[in-house]
Amino acid sequence: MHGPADRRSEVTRGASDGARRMLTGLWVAALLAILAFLVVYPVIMLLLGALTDTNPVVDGISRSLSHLSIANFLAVLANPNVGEALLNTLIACGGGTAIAVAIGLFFSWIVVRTNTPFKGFIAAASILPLFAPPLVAGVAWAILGSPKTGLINTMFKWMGSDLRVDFYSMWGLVFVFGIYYAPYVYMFTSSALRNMDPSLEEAAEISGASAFSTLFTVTFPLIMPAIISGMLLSFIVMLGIYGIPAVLGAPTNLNVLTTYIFKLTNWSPPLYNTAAAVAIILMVVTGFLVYLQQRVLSGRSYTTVAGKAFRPRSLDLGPWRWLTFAIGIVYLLIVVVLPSLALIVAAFRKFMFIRDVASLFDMRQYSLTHFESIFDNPLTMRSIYNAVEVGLITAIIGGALAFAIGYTIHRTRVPGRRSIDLISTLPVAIPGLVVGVAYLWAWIGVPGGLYGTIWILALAFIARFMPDTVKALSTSFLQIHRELEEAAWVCGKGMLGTIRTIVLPLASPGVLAAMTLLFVLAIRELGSSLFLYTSNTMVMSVLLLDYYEGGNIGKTAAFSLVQTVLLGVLIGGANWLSRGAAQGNVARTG
Amino acid sequence: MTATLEVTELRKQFAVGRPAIDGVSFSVPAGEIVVLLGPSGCGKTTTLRCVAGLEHPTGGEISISGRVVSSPARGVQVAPRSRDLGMVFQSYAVWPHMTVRQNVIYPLKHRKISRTEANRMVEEALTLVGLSEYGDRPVVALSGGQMQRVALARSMVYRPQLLLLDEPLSNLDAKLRLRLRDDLRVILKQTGMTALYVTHDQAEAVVLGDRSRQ
Repeated sequence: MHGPADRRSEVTRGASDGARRMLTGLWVAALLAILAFLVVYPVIMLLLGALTDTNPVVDGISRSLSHLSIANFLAVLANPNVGEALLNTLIACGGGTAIAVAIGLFFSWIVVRTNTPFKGFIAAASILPLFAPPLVAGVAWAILGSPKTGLINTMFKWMGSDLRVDFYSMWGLVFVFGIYYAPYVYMFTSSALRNMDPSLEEAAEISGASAFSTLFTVTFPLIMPAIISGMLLSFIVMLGIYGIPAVLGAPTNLNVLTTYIFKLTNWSPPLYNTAAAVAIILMVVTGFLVYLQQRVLSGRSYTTVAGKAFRPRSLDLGPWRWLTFAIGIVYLLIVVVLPSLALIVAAFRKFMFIRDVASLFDMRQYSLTHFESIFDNPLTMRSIYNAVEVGLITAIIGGALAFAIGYTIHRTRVPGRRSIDLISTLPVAIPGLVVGVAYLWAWIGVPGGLYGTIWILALAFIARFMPDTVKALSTSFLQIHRELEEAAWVCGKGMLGTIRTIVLPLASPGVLAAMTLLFVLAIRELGSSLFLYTSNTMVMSVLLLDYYEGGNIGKTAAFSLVQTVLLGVLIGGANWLSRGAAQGNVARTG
Repeated sequence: MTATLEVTELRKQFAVGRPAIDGVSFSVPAGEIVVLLGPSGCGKTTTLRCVAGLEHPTGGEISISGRVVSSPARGVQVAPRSRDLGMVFQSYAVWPHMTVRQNVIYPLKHRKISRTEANRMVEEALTLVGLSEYGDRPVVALSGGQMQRVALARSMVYRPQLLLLDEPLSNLDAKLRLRLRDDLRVILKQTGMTALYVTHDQAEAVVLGDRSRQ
């Protein structure tokens, strides 16, 4: 009958109070200093960058600081190009979100509430797009949907149809956004549906409502908070994506905020100030949406009184269940099978020009040329090596830091843990690209510093993914009952000893999983790498973009495949590793 | 308006294990309250859900005022909404995104009833359960006992021919349960509806039932 709040105090209670208090103070100060270095300092530098008109490389930081004025920022706001990019961003993300909500909601209903055959398979298929790196997805859809040489148009021509598609357009962007970010909506709505008391729907049916009318008057209104927060999340993610709009928007010069920011830094001379200002606009929009989402999530949720565990309730669709099954297959075909086939064809074909369908199956047209040529380039191996190195550094340091932060926030009552919590969740509102620009501003003008090393990439990734890692880790040790720790204290172990002998071993599957997640996220990250790499620290995702911008579709597709296979192997291996650990854990505890 | 319920040789077999109901027969004469009494897990609720049409029985027959609504042998399975019955759930199942009035008027919106007539019927039902002053409150602002009254009003507002009650008092605290139990009997008798009532509480069965089946 003790609340967790009573128990937390015991952590700070000790034999020698004075010494302990000083140690605690030092610990909190150290964490805050690290967070300030990782998060606060770059963001402040970004703000300063937006407010000056000097170049950090040429003029140095001190001169920049003396030129502060709001004029630069206002000029950016008044710039019609910025306005156009902002408008495009809102249209693309808005349209994409609408499609994502429709798909996500439909699939969660199919999976949770109907007797569609092979539901488990459809459930797995509907979260697959989460694993596709946006740039690879963009490249695949460029191969499929380019107006002249696209595979889809080739097929249409072969079938004698006059239909043509053009994915190098706002429509293409909206479509690809929509189908790839539907899983975010799906994850929220399917769990809300699963947790809903089915008698709420049964009551509607008994009242005389049809299944369809029940869906719109009872089911959807009840899970509205989940729908809205899934919607906002997918919008937020789309806002920060660089890969997809970079590929699909470039041919027609269709800019969104992310691609526009990168363009600004690539002009000569690079417009770092303007880029910083536009990055701030992007950050403010994202921050506002994150705030809205938190409000929706913490707002009233419709919990209901329930006498017993919910019985799974599924609507008998009759023969229609084959239609819902077919729709599931079509979705899988569109998001996974078609893009993969497109990448494979483009990677192995000598020339991308396909005269007719017969030539598509002509084996003489296929070879390993593109793979040979990418591996002839020394940069390719270098970029793979760099990406793995950055990934490892990020996973190990980021994981350890997140563990320290998570434990301090959730399991101790040290003063200052609120600020630690706040600062470590701050990056949620900062898109990857903005982290990149902020780190650029923070370190480019500091002589002999981090800029140009592998470490600046790793530090930027650690900061960027901190909120996700802390969250993932926290759930893993919040499941360990406090009494297990208390038992160790009673046995005479100190706090560090308890963490080492009790908490860490029990939480190890979760810790390992969080580190793996961090590793994978770091390897596929493109947005922040764009601003921080040099020729020595080139990473895979940036090199892929390079190949694409070089105009060679074959090489791009080949390298996309290499990257996808590598990621697949890593994710699979990590899953296998953490499963082994979990089993070992079960064996140990009982 | 009020009807007899006839259940003969009802069987329900879930995917695995022994049948949940194995050859149950009983009848509820028009205007009476019959209580199904028994320990939890003995199939009372499943029987009730079969009568409601929420579960599909695997054998036997159910008819309401002479019309067969469930008969797997003859391939008859009438949808819940076409059976003209009302149901009160153990978890109340009042819709938290609506006010009291919106909850109660919901069934009338799915029937051909004019707006003024519907409003009159809602007022009548709310008065009957003693909530006439709470019409515009959101249901989440109510206590458990009040929510159960909303559920009762909602199930009776359209005067169904049969009322089904699935342990309606089991989520309430002891004192409230006693009061609502007596009120429930008065309300049911006032409307003269046929009712099938499921409970595991003997005292409830004795007070409420005209007859009781164990």
